[in-house]
Amino acid sequence: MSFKKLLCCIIGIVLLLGALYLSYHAYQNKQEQIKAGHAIGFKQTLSSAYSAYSFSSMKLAVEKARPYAEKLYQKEKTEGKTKKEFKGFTALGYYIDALDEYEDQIGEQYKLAIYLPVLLVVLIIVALIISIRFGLSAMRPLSFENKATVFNK
Amino acid sequence: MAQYINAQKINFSKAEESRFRKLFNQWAASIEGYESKNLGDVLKIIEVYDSPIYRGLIRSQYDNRELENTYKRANKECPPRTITSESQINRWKLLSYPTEFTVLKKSYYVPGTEYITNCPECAGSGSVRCNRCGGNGRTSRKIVKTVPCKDCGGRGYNEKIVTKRETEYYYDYVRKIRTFREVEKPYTERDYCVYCHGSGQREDISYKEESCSDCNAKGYVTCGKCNGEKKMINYWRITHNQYVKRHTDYVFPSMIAQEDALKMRELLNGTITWQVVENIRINNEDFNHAELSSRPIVGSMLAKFPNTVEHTRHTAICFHNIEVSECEAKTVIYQVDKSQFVCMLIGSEWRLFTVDSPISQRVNDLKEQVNDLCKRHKYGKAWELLQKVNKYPQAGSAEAEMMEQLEERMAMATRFGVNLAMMICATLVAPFIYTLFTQLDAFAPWSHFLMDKLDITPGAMTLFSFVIIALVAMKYKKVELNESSYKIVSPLKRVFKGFVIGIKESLFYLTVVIAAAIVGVLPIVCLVIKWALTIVFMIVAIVSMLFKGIFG
Repeated sequence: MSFKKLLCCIIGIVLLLGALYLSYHAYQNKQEQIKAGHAIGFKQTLSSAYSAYSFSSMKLAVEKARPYAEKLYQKEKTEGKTKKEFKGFTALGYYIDALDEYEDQIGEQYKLAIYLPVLLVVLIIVALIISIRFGLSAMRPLSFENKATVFNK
Repeated sequence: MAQYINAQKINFSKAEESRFRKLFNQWAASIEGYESKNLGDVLKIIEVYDSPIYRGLIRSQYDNRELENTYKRANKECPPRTITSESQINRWKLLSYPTEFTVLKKSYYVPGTEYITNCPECAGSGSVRCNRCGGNGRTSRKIVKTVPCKDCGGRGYNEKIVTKRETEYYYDYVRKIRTFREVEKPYTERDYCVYCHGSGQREDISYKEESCSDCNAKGYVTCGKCNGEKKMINYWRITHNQYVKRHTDYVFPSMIAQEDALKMRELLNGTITWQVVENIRINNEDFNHAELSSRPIVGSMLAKFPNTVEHTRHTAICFHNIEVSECEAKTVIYQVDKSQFVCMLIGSEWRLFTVDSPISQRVNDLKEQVNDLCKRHKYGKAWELLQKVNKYPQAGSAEAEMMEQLEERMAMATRFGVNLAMMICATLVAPFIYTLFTQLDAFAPWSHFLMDKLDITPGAMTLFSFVIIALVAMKYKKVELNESSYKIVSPLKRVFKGFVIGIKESLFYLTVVIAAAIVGVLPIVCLVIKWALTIVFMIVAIVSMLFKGIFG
């Protein structure tokens, strides 16, 4: 094993041990908080986080954020900062602003229900771009006669 | 003039035919993957030609003579000087020309050119300026002493008192949890001394002037060229260099194509017995093509060489020798499955050279099939077929290059599987990571500090984690894949293999990302990405403003 690999392994092990120690420490704190009734269970939080992918929770989150977004829009309209209607990308911009501005009022779960589907769409777009790129590369002709078909790495 | 044969039709005797068939069987059996091991028995001999191969070897004798004016010590009497300038020396009459091929290099003095004169180095004084002291008679000697460093007092470091912020853990009895606070503590720090590099000692350098020992403080020494004798013998020297240049060429039977002739040259450079059939000598520079160009074999060889043989100044060409040698060879035209092929039997030992054969035809057929499969994008099957082609000795660099390209394309399916798995894993694990970052609060105290200072939320960290994983997924290349993951014929299996690798890699990188977030590395990475994005946006804004300014 080379010195570089050995160093990487040591750093990795130290990182992992540190992470494990801190996670255990945080878990203990969380348990104490749950016992005292200051926090809800980890399983409950996790299941609500996964339910953020459902369309109904996204709809609920949008409904929850709508008055705050409209409030921001009305405020800017009265100040004369905007003349656009509240729809499409304009509305999306106000929703994002509302999620930042009224984070505590909207709640973490609703915020997640808007952000996670957006993340999913981004990942699907990236996957599509990569697939198209691979597909186009595989479509290029390849034969013994054609010397110009060398695959571009 | 020797008899030259250009493909004369002959017939094989029964013994010769039997020998030929046996040889062909041996050759077919030696080729891995070829099914018809008794090819020699099934082939039909159509025609046999006595077609010797001729080798022409042209050797040229060169004679080069260079003159040089030089000096030597005057330790003997000089003969009377008869030659006073270079123009009086005829270099070509001084020495005889070689009559046989000779390789030598020697130097001689030219008689009658010697005369005594002042030494060119000391101009007849017998002494020259001393190199060591430059004529001063005095030199300076370097003295190095080690003394304690003045800046650190010989300790190698300097001390200073500083205060440091430290995290102190304690139990909060009001909130009933373990928590932390920041306290300031004084420390003594040692600064490494930059003047002595931490050694505590420094070099004290001084110079002492003293008399030069080479010239005993005189400033001059005895001339090394004339050894203090003041006079030297000046004379002309001739360097005689005789050497031979060679050109080799071959003449093959007319039924051998140009590209096959090139392959045969390599074979002929080995242990083939040649029989000299003609030796022609041409004197001086008269490389007369006209006389020899009408000659069979010799004429075609000479046509490939230039009319004048190149030579440098002061060089003469004494003679050339054209040596034509013959190598016994037979050309056999034979038939297998209604197709005709050509082979050659070289030398008396009958070394087999197949110009074309059923095997080369089979290789060509397989290559056609590979091309056809490639056209239909069936790279796995094409790769499997190409492996068969590469077992034949006829396969070369083109086949190896094709194999490399096919493997590159096959690896793409595996890479697709890897990326797909990474994307799916990222989607499935995202809520878990987000919950871990926000709810469990498992960050180190300095992570908290960094996140507060840098204004980075757990949500942003989750997003950045997936940006890192996506970048890793896109950078995954063939070289990083295991060979057994893409050298599979079925494309679906290749995608599946890639998918499995992708899951393994995703879990590994997710663990790394979580560990990095907890120990506080990820907030710094987030900050760097944030700055990079800000710079990119600023550049885009400036460029768009400039465009507006120019075109708007």
